[in-house]
Amino acid sequence: MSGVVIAETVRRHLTNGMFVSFAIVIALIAIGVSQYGQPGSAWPGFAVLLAVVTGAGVIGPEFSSGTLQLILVKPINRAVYLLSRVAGVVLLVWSVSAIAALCEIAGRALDGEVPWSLIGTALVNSMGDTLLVCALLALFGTFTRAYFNVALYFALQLTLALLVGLARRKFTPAIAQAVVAVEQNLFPDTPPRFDAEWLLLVASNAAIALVLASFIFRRREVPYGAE
Amino acid sequence: MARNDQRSVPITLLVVAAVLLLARVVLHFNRADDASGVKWLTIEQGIERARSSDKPILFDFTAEWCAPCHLLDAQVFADPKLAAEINRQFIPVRVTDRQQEDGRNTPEVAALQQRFGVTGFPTLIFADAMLTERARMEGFSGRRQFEQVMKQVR
Repeated sequence: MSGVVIAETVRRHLTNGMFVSFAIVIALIAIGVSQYGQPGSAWPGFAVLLAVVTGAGVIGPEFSSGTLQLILVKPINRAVYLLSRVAGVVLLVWSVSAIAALCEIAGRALDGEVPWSLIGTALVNSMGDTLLVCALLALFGTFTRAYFNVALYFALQLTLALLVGLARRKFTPAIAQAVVAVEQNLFPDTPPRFDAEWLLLVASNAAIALVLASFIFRRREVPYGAE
Repeated sequence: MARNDQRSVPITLLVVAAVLLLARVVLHFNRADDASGVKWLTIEQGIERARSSDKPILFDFTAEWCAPCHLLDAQVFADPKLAAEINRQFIPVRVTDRQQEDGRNTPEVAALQQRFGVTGFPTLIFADAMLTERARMEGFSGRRQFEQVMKQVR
């Protein structure tokens, strides 16, 4: 990992008005949840949305803008650069999730009892979810340009959801089971509890996605200048 | 840095991915082998067994989407000591609500929910073989709450 790349990724986002506004909105939602909602609800979904928005720009836009060519003339390993960019984004999204959890805890503490387990579980699950989202977007970003990684992410999610529905009705149970397994590995449903097996699933799938991303990125030709 | 170095394989990441995968496989098999915990019966099995025993039935009205239900699972039913106690003193029957997932419940689940007036989850009902309610616990605020209700039924 490169501390410089991580720090630059963090700095770039913290000076971005859109990112800061989104983070504030998530914190406000968490405060609202502490007064009116189920513990640990709503804000984890917005944290995933934030991961999609920030993860979209991990590598793809740098291909299109031509800045990647300039960066890669530096003596930095391509895989290290990619992983450091992902680490920076994940760190930021996790920080926003942690702030949201703290806001909910503060809001509930004012009213009396804090359901530590439920909020803690929501935070840990949200961290798992956002890690996988960022890793998948980084993987898709290594073989697409600009923000096509997000388009690919949603297209794949939609296609798999449709295939699962179709497979359950039309195909044999074995095929349906296989389609569900693919769908649940790429886009696993977040459990409403602490589940070590689910956490290992998202962490290992994120690691595999990053390994694949590193392999693709190290072989990819980087074009000169902006498109 | 040479061109080859710039494009070298991230060995550490490969090792991390392999270790995580291995841990996933090991945990999966460990869980499959783990037979400890509450031995849940179906509604039919539970009532059948209660008729030939003097133990009360413990109905656990739960739902997959219900977070406090999973907390109850983790803090009470997954505890080996408490689970052994429950298996010894009661006939545990799990009644899972599928209204949200399937749009409706099976007639047995719907009838039992209506009989005991279950409106939220988790709800634990202690009842005899004639389905006469002896105690009830609604919601879950900690292991102590469950232990108190259990004492009440003894």
